[in-house]
Amino acid sequence: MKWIALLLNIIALPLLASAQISLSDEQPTQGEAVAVTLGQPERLLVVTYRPNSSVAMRDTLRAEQPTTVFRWTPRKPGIVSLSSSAASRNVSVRFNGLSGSGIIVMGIAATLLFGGAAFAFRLLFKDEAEDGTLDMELDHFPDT
Amino acid sequence: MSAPRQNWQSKLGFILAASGSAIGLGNIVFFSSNAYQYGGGAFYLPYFVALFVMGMPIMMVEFGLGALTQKSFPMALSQLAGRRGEFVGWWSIGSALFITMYYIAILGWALGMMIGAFGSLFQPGATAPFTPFAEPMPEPNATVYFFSLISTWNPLVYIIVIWLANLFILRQGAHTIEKAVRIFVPLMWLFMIILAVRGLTLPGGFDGVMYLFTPALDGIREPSVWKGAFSQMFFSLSLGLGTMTAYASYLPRDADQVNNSMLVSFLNCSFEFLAGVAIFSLLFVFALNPAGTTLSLSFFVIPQGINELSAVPWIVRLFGFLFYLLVVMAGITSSISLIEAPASALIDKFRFSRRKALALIAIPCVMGSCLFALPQIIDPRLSGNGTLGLTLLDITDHWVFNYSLLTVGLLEVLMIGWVFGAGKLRAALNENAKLKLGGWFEILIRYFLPVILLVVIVTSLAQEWPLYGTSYDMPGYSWLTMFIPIFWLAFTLFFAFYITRSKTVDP
Repeated sequence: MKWIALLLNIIALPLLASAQISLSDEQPTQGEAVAVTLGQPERLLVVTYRPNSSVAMRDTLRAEQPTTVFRWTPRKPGIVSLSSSAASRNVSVRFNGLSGSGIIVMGIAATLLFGGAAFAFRLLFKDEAEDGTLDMELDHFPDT
Repeated sequence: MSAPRQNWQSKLGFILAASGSAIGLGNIVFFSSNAYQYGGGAFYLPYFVALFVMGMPIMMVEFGLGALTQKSFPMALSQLAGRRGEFVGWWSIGSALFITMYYIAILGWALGMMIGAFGSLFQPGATAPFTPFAEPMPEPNATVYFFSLISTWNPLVYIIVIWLANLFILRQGAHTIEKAVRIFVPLMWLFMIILAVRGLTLPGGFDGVMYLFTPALDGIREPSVWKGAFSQMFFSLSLGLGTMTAYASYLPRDADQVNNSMLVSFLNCSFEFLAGVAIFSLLFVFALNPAGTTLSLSFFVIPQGINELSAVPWIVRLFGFLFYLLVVMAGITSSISLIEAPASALIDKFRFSRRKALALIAIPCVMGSCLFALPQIIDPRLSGNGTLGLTLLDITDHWVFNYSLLTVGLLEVLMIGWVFGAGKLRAALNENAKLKLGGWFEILIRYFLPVILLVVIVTSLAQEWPLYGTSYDMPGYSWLTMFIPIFWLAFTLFFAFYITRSKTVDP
């Protein structure tokens, strides 16, 4: 909850101002240029990849003269924040094809977690060992 | 006179109850938030390290304490480490009571949102284009609905309903808990699968999943990423609260606690995996940022994603209802364990009847839950963001949840490792384990985990100045930022001291 204020700003302010930033493709793709149109002329457009994270990355698009249209080629897929001095909005940049590393991590994680759970379930219902009693509890757990 | 100690009716019943206890509100949304903030797929490396070197071993300790002593957390620690152990156990129980109070207040709000799904809460395409409570927008949206809801008297009714549901489930202990989790836990999985499938089938939904798993390796060397993973694992598995020990104490002594720990941990993390898929696909498609906390994501952000799921109102409402039903069920399966931990401890210590123990817990805690909801009701101006109402809950959560669990975990491994002996516990666990624990278990318990937990606690404390909450605008109430942690510490330490000094009633 500590970021409620921040989060509400993230939600509310970009939406308030989103009408002032529009894209030629509302779902841009990594590596493919799009035109970003602003409501009023600006010199700078700040692009933040993975905003509000510990690995956020920032690019700045500059224009020599104030302009309402910037050309932007997304370098990375994911949630990206576009902000000028007057407006800001989030866009989702889609992957250009499949992400090999993403599929590998997903596969490994799913195999470990679901495989681990299936393995443990199998052990759970395996027949009990011949001698299932704990005969050493008094040594191990003295009543202090 | 107290009844003889109960047992779970089946192994599956225990696994469902323990995994239901671990899977709570935090699993549904908090994992997604952490994964987003700490680099997506790159977060999985420290996450798995934390699962295998900390989560599972500490769960083995907590299950082992319960099953092998057949006692609740404080009394099990008392048996192994004397009065110091019992004191730590009661301190954790005191903190668990604090958590229960505000956790059930949040569940009351979730119940209100669930009921709201039948009304105007969910509307196709409704987002939150407003400044909270400055000038509410005429069109309905989840954030406005939430803040309007918490400024009415209805949450008190919802809180009491949630408390009654908890007490009803706990009325006969393990027997009735097992009946409830046999319904709730499979339903939670089913609803989460439905949400994940819906998210994946949205246009661009799979990109959201790729976004979750594709590693952003830039941050992997950041200590904060590793700290985030270790904290996430501790909170996610509900360690350090006494709940797992209470549940395990209803198992037979010869149960395989190594396998039980593995299974509950894997189930908990598999649920988080599915939740990550559901939340990332949903939020990515609509360019909503998953960075946030349990409350903000559950009540403000995810409903916006749900509103975009379809242009058909009843479908949007159905998914909204299912989401909050999932939140309420996940919350109740956790809150019953939070109440069972102190109830079983009181029964063990004073030989109270279950009814008396539950009443002793419920009467002050219902009032406490209502107190967390009252400020916004009495003065609706407090219902906005950053005002006193939610800030009270936020500051309490920050101190109690962040520090008590980790500190109890640290003291627990120190006592098991150095006072009782990690070797003895390992030998006892191995007696009935199909997969035997090696010498590494002792190294983890004696050396690695105390160091890791100490580092996490100390680095967190070092970042605490200025005190958490001072950035909030609370004219006339700024003293609360100092008062809340002091009150929590003083109250829980006195509570632990008083009960530890009280005479234990012999069986």
